[in-house]
Amino acid sequence: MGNNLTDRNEQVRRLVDKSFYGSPLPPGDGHRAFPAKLWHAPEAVEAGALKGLLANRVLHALPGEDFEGLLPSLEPVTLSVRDNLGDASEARHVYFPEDAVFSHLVVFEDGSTVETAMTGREGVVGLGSVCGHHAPTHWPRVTLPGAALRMRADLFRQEFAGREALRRLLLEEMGRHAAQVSQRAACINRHRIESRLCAWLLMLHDRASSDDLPLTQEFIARRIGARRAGVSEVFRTLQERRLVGHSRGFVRVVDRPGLEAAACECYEVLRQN
Amino acid sequence: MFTTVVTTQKLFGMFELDSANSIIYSRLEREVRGDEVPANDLRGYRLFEDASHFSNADELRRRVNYFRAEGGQADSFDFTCHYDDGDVPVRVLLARVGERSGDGSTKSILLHIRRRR
Repeated sequence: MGNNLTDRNEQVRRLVDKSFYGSPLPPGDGHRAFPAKLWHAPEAVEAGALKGLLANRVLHALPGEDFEGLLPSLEPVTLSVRDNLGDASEARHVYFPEDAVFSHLVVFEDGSTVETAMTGREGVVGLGSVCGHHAPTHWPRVTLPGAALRMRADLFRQEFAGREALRRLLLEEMGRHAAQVSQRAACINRHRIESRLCAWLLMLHDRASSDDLPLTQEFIARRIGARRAGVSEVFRTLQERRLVGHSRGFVRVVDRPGLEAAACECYEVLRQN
Repeated sequence: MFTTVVTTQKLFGMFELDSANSIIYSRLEREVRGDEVPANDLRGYRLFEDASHFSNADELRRRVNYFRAEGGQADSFDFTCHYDDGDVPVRVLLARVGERSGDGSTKSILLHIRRRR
């Protein structure tokens, strides 16, 4: 599974780079647009081939004409966990993840965090830019590094206003996001850390391109709103049961069915969401 | 909590903050205009409670605290300070100071705020 997605990301990057060939970088924040001649000759950018290679389900589900309309504004990027995407009020881009995974964090005054939702290739990050609502305590952050396509928020707002199919897909995505937030709010109140952690790892594994997840226990604790000591204790148990492996900076999903059995009921609800 | 802001000067410059966000060192970049009251020495004051008078200082404090908790070496981001006389876009740089204390950990961070053009 993982290698196929990595290969596909590389193919996407090559195709997009090929289309970018010779196009100048416009002034601004690094956003790249396709040359105008390609806009008028969409077959030259191999839009159909590109769409077929994309892992992002929202882009993939767009009708061909709408996808071709968006294509000139999409920019392929590789994201790391250190990338600062700004809080919702400063967000300049909307992201369509390929194998990158984003966490939607609530950040408390003391700097501690809890993840309220996770978005990977099934969705879009930065929808607040079309809602017009910016909560300064809600931040998107990269949890798993990887590839994504991004689009300037101002251009995205124009496309959202003008494209019925995109609007419908994004409203569905907002509904799924709201459902995930409410399910996880209930989960954190009701379920124990072990079953929550198993569900979280499975959600991440569903969106990742590998069984090896670059995560530290400290990082996981900050994402799921738990103490580091509690996470370490759970990992010891999961390793003893041979559900996961853990080496410096990496968690390996060893026994996925076993993890599913150990996860709380919320995982199945969220998976079907 | 009742606090008195010690300066009406807009905050641009370099600040070293301890773990409670109190100012250990400051080097202000002066842009004093009109009836602004310039600050001479902000050492000992709490940056966000005593020395900041933009309305969204809480948001910046949250960013600083997040950086401290997250464990990175440096970070930078755009921010907009909402002052009474208008919004001021700034670029914020955060860095951990590589000074080791008795228990071997770094305690303070550097915060640089500069006007974004």
